[in-house]
Amino acid sequence: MDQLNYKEQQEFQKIVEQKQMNDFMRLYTNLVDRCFNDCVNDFTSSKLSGREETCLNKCAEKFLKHSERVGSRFQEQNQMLMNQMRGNN
Amino acid sequence: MSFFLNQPALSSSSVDPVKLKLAEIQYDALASTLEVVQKQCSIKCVPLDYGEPDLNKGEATCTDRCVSKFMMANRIIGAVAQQRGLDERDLRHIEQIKRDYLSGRPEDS
Repeated sequence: MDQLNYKEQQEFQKIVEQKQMNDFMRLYTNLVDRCFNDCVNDFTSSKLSGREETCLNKCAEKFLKHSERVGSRFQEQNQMLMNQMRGNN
Repeated sequence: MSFFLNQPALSSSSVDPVKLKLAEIQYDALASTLEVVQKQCSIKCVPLDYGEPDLNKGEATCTDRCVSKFMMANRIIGAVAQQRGLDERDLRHIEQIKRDYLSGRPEDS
């Protein structure tokens, strides 16, 4: 956001910090949603089975790695788009 | 949108609430787009059985291509929306529905 002046950047920073907390919570909720949905389907017991636990662990790790990868690719693509737009102006 | 943000700062010490709001809207748009890409590309590229905690080669390649294609799709749809003149007025029916339901009497007709 190099178009904002110094004071505006400070204000924006505050807004973003609040939003990042929300974004993080949403990522976490989606993670639990996906992994619970994929790994836990047997309700003959109220405790998680060993298999379900293993599945949840692997799922969480995999999902986070996936999100990270998508994040960096997204960043790259976005940067390319921004540069193109700047070039056209 | 960038037209407004690209204007040089007239005064470096005052906060322009409009500019700040625009920056916030841009941030929100980016964050929600990212959320959708993450969700879609994990559905399309990561199968439901978790044999290992790492992304394998196929999943990683699929993810890279998925993000790339998503961005291209986004641009194509953006162009269609722009050409068609899609704007807030296209959401009017939603406003109407919201009003009807919030007032506690869904439309009978």
